[in-house]
Parts: sequence; C-alpha cells; structure tokens
Amino acid sequence: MILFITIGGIVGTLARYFVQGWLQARPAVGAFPIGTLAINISGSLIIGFVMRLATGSTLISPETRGALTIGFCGAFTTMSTFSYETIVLLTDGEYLRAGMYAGGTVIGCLLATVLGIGLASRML
Amino acid sequence: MHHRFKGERTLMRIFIGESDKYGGQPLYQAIVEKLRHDGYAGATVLRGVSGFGASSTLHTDKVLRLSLDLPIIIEVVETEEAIEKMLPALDEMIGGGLITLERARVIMYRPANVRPSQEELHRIEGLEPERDK
Repeated sequence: MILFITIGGIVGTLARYFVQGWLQARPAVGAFPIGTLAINISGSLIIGFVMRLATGSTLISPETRGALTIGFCGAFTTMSTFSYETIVLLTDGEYLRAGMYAGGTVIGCLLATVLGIGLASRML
Repeated sequence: MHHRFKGERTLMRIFIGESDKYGGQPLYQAIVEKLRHDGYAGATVLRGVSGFGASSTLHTDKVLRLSLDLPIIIEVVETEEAIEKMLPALDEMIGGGLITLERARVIMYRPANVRPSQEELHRIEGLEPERDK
C-alpha cells in the first residue's frame, strides 16, 4: 500500500508542477493563480470519479484506490498553495480577485467532485 | 440435482477486509475461487460501507484515509458437513476476521434455465401449484 501511494504521489507532484507551469505561462494569464485553480478543480473531479467507481464496484483494488486518491490526487491538488496565493492577493489589496479565487476554488472543487461522482454513477 | 439442496442447511458468513490478500490476489476472491473449485453450492460477496472489528480500527467510505480496507462479507449456504470441511482451509487463508454460522432453511435453489419437466421439483417450497382453469 505504501509503495502504491508513494508512486501516485510522485506522479501527482510532477503532474502538478508541469501543468501549473504550462498554464501560468499562457500569455493571457498574468498574475491570477489559474494554474492552482485548474489543478484543484480537476483533481477534485478525479477523486470524485475514482471513489464512486471504486466503492460501487470491485474494479479498483484498494491499493490502486490509494495510489490514485491519497497518492495522485493528494499530491496533484494543493491546499497550501491555494492558501498562500489567497493571502498574498489579500495583503496586496486585491480583494476582488482574492474573493473570486477563494470562492471559485471552493465552489469549483465541490461541483467538480459532484460531477466526478455523477459520471462514475452513470458508468455503474 | 439442485432441487435436492432444499431443506435445513447452514449459512456461513465470513467477515474480512477488502485489502486482505492471499497468494497475491484479494482474499475474498481466493476464498470464492476455492469454494467454486471444491464444488460448493454457491457464495456471494458483499461490500460493507463502514465497520470495525477485532482490531477496533474504524473503516468507512466517508473518510478517505479510512476507506482503504472496507468490510467484505462472504455468504455461503451449504450442508453442515460441507461447511465444516472448509474450516481448516479458511483458518489457513484468513488472517484477521470473523466467521459466523447460522441455521438456514433453503426453500429454493435453482438455476436460471429450468426444463419444463423439472419445474415441479424446483418450485419454491410451500407454494401451491397453479391450478388449471
């Protein structure tokens, strides 16, 4: 189990690094943390999908489940980066952006998880 | 023949964890395959959403960290002798868990495709035969 979680974690961390890097480098983006927002939302979608599929069937073994959720999603998404970026926006006086970012993250991630669960339910 | 399976039998319930392994495969799968290989009447595997057992660790699908080893129950209905024959192998295959035995009365045990000539034998015990109008 530990091995599976570790491998998932390594893949998730690297995926986050490269996806964030690619997204933030898009010319239109600027200083808004769209990279973190996108990975947190997509990670929430993935975890909802995987957990619903896993607990509703025996298609995903406990080890694979651990690798994909605790490992990959746990490493791919990031609460600490989100917290840091929100606080920086606030301390810089960008209250609207901070509000949009925080609200967008919370609502977006919750909706994404619901969507992921829904997609998996459709499959079952 | 299947209809001879009706009557007083024993229901065995095996409670184990979803992560338990035997010989590189999931334990519940290994047990079901052994039962099938040894010609038992049947087995059904159910997954519980939450529970705890001898080691008192709570497992639940509500918390991710606790959802990795959800409860699995294998139910087997067989004659008492057949169940007892299985126990040494189960003792060897199962690490931690719970096994219970109950009395059960089988009133129907039939395959999906019963020949018309056999229908009488396979009717659920206690049901009156349909009368012709």
